[in-house]
Amino acid sequence: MAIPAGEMESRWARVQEAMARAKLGGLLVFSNQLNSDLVHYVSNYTVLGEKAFCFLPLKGEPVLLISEAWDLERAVRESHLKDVRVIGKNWPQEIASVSRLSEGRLGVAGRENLGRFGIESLEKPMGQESVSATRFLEELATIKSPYELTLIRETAKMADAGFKKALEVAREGLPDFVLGAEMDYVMREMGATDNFQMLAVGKDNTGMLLPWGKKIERGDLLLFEITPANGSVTYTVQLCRTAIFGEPPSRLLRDKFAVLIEALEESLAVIRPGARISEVARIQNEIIGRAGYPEYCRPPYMRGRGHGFGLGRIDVEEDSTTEFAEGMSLVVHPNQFIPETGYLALGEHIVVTAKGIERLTQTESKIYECGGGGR
Amino acid sequence: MSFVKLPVLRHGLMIRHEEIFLDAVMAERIKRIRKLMEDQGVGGLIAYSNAIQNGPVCYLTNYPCFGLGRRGAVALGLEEGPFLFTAEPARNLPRVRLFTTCDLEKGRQFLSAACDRVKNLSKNSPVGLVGFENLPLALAKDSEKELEGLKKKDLSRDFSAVLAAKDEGSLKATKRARELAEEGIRLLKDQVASGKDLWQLAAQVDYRLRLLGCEDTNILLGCADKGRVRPGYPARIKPRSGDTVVAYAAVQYARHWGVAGYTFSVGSANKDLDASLARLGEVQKSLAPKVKTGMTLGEIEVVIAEAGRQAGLMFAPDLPLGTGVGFDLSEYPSSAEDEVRTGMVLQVVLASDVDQSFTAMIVDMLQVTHKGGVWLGRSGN
Repeated sequence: MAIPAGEMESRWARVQEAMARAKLGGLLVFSNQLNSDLVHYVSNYTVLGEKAFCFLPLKGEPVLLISEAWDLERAVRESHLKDVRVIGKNWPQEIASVSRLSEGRLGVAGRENLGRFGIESLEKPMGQESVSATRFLEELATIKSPYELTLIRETAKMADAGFKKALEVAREGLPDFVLGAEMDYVMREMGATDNFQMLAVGKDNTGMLLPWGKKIERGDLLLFEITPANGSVTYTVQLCRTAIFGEPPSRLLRDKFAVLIEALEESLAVIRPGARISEVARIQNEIIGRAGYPEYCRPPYMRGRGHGFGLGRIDVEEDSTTEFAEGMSLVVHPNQFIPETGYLALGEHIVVTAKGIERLTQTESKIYECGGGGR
Repeated sequence: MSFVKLPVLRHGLMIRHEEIFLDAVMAERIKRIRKLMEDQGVGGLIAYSNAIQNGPVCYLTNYPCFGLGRRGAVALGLEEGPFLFTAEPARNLPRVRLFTTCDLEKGRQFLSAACDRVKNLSKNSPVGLVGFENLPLALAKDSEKELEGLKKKDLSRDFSAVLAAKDEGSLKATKRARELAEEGIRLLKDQVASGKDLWQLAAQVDYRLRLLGCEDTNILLGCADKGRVRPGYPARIKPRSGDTVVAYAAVQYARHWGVAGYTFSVGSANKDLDASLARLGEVQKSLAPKVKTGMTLGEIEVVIAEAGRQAGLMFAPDLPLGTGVGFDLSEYPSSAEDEVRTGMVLQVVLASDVDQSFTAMIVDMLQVTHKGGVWLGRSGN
């Protein structure tokens, strides 16, 4: 989906206004391959190289600096920026010369990932110390724009399609990595740029893991955290579901899963702008604890009850101190290890609206049957 | 500079591969690193890896840092270890153990726990550090505190050189990965006129290679009817008859990367392109005997450039000529001064923009021996 005219300009304006309020004279944003979402947020460029920087002055357009010369044309095309440069071995000097345009204190988003050597290399030629601005940018990115929400809604369709595909192709003897490949392919064809997918197949799952060649057998539980991204990891959606293969769920399984459904629905019901994020985790832990599993609501079994993705990520935990706000995008998941059934997965991706929530995926919140056992 | 991979969670088949990484292979690796430790006068060693520089921890444990944990550390003593510490959720450890070659240690602060272990192992003698230059600031501060008072020695470069000189296991995995990368290029060539756009083609190749058991892929494609083309993030462009497609396929199998690259025309044959590729092929053949153990990467690049000049070809200055490949898509040797040793494998990119009409490119892997280089692809030897 092409980025609409004015989207980046309004984003820069929002960041620049916040910079002025925070008394930052300039913002240097750093990404490597582990945190490419930062530079993407201010430049619309997907980092495909060792490192990239984007310098945003208090007024005017940013300067994008990338490490791979062969990717220059794409960087110009994606970012629409007038000033895109390739940095070489002397990158600290090159970045310093751009950062000197800072009108005062320089904030560096992603500073922590530069490492000590990177920070020293950069600050020496600049002749001044920088301050971390990672949290600063994270907070601004927490609230998604209408365009960003459109991207996220598109991603939700991919997640639905991935789950539908899994139910279609699951058959006895199918290895877990083939199941994963099938789901991945259908989502990638729809435009998914990534899929942080976790999958577990078996009767004694303790959690999600990478595929290890397990072949599907009758009575296996299939656990999914289907997590496609759309351009940047920030525009990720997660769909958590459980299916049983080849036979209907037992009464025990149905009863235990009903606890998760209750925990999900009761916790979603309280979400609205101004509500405390910690409340969602508290409600889920209370319901699951009341069902007899309080100790399994704590590490090492469970920790978070939901989270955002990429830049502007929020964590749904009992000690979260922030509140929900309109435009937040996150998954809420009462995924739970239960001794009698093993790990069970259930989670909805939502966007916080003015009055409550919007559920993004169309896949019903229930335990599924596949492989001839029903729907 | 290299064709680097976004380190997303890779969710292809993840297994131990006992047939490749025999116990003897792992024991030999530990022996090599202990020899390095003795030569450098350290009594303990701690290596840190993340999803970008996966090599050090994976070399000693077979643990992939590009998986769920994303980060890991390994502690090794002269007589004990290796001990693996990861950021993996504790509930996953029993399953993770299925594909590692040593036990996992429990503990939420994985790096602090690893530092603590290495303090005991080193018995107050100096500690060798590997990969610590890649530590995020908070972890760097933690480790400094944990290792306070101990003498420390940076062994990153030496460790990388040992790791890059591939043993029998690494060579087997690398060769299989290279075969799969060639299969990827073949699939692309077969499907390029199918009406799919570049993004969909890359998705299809990724899918087919995953069915063959690879851990991950990195498919980069470029396409144009005329002029310079670079392999890159696949765009939503449909190749048309007469277009030139520049394709690069990297495939990870058994923790090791294999790469292949080629240019092909869509639809009708392009005689000029075929002629250029033939010249690149001749350059490739001429290079193998000239690349030997003991040369620096800088010297090898000069040899490659000179071979191109003699064939009347100028290589694209914005693309990497040669760099190490193995556990990571870019590993030692990667700097001009890095010395090349027997067993190292280079990714060699021969790419030339011909008469501003098209780009001809061959990417192959060159295994270094003391007698010369051996191409891992079918065409070069």
